Amino acid sequence: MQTRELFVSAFRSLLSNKRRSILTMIGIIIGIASVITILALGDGARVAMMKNLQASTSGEQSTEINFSPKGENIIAGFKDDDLNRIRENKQVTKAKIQSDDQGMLSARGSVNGKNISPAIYLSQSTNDDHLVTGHGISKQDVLVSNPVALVSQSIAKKGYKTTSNAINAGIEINGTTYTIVGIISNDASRGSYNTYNVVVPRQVFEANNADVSANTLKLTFVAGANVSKETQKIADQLNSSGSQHNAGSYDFFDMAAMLKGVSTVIKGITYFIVAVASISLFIAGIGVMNMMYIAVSERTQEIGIRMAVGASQKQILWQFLIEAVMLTLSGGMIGYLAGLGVAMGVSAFLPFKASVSISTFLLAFGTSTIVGLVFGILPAKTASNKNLIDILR
Amino acid sequence: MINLSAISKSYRQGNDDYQVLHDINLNIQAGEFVAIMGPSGSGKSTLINIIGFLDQHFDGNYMFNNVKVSDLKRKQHAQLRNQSVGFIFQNFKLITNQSVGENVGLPLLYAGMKRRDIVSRVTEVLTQVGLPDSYKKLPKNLSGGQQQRVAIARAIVTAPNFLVADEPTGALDSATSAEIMALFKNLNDRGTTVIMVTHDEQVARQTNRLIKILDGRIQSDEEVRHANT
Ligand SMILES: Nc1ncnc2c1ncn2[C@@H]1O[C@H](COP(=O)(O)OP(=O)(O)O)[C@@H](O)[C@H]1O
Ligand SMILES: [Mg+2]
Repeated sequence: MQTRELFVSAFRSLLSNKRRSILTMIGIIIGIASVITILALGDGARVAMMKNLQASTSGEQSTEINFSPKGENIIAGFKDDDLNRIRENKQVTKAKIQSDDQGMLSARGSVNGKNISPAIYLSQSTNDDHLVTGHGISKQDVLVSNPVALVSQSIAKKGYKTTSNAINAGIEINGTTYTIVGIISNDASRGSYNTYNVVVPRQVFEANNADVSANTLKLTFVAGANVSKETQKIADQLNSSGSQHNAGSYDFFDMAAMLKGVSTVIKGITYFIVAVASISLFIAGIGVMNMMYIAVSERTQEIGIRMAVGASQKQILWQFLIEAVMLTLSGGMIGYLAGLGVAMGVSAFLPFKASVSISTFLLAFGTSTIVGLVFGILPAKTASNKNLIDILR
Repeated sequence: MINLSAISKSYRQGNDDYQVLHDINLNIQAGEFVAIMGPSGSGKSTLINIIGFLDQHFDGNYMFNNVKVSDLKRKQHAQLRNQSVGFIFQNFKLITNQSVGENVGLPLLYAGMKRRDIVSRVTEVLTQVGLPDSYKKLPKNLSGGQQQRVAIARAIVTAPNFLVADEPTGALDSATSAEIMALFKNLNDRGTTVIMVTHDEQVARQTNRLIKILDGRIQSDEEVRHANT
């Protein structure tokens, strides 16, 4: 018999008993759907975390060490000596001093003689976000590097009592004086959490503050390195013998360790739900087995007839096995789609997206096939081992 | 074609072996039309199940076209059932939820034929048994005689070496029996070997050779004299 015919006849047998097939399939659908839901969400959470860990696609991860000077000194924390020593570490692929990627940093300064330590946003181009009065940083300002600044209402009031007094007055930041051209609201922020209270053109700031903006050391590690441990070691070493270890401290905030903790919890939850789903798949499998046994005994005559016209034992075995696998596989595919749907729906309310990967598809495909094979084989054996003479009597 | 020598067969009934066939010797040539008669329980079905490759468990030697049947593997046995014999049962044995055409085409499916070729061959044999427009019908919508025609069509669809029929007219009234017998006669005239078990003297007389069985032994084996020859 041609293989295609086995599938066609299995499909038709399932169709001829639609209600029973669907009821049997429900267990598989629920089992697979719940596994897929939790895996898609867990995967999504993991992907989101990896992004936070700044792992590149090749598996490289990077960390940052910040130097914060004691007192009000403005000094660069990383010298070439430090970098050269760090680069000797085989795990480190890149060590680069850089200013904050977000363009956000804290600085020291004064307005009208009063000390302030504002959070500064370095604007690359024109900016008039959250503007209350005055005007924003214009094209012209950026083009000719005008030392202009937007300041928050509270800073304006601190220095000049009213916001209108502050316009065109001065503000000193890290030793450079800027002219206040606009007032921004007190809750000005970038993204959802980076609040700031002063905006200055990036070019102007960097031209005057090379040292200050360069107190972040970005380290990139080879794939598979224990980045937390290595970075901590480097930070410790900088603190004991770094070029400026007397003038300030080198700090490493271990994002990775924290995320790993969260990741472990998520993994735990995932395993738990997968275990529960496995039990449901097992029970569904028993249901499939039960249905197949019923089908075999109902169709004893058919089996006898097929054997009498030349079906081999193997062909009978495959007929019932394919029927069982087709049942669980259709259930598995429906469950896969349902699981994805649920995961997408749920992730609309979560801070990360459910991830759709070929591996979860293969998992659903493989699991449902295996359930069909495992729980279909005994009934199929029973069918193929039936004694022809006894059936036909 | 069929050479049986010293065939014996026992069934296990409880703790005892109950011997149904005793030392059967029988030769059947290609083209014969044979009737087997005997009282109920005398072992007729047991014998033709062996002849028709449905039963592999017996003592003695069965040579089919110089192949020793008892030496064959189960799979080869299945192949013989598929290719070399067509079996016709008293109660038709059609698959009830499949159409007439599918029932008839079943042996061809197991022979590995393509679906398209199967349809044309099935249509051909359905016409041959007098049911040209029944491909799509369900067996339950046919009369008993028509169902037996379908069964005959299924038996001849692979063009087997011989047909085995176990009381093919046993469930039919006499008029329908006559039609079915005419069909067998027609097939035999075209060269098909037919071996048939029957209770009906009338039916047996239309064949060419009558074998009588009693208690698992061949009692007589003689040519049938026809009135017009
Ligand atoms: N599968 C079987 N198991 C046990 N006994 C059987 C089986 N098949 C037939 N018999 C017994 O063998 C004897 C012959 O049966 P059978 O060949 O069917 O007779 P017939 O067809 O001539 O009526 C009967 O007594 C029957 O009870
Ligand atoms: Mg009988």
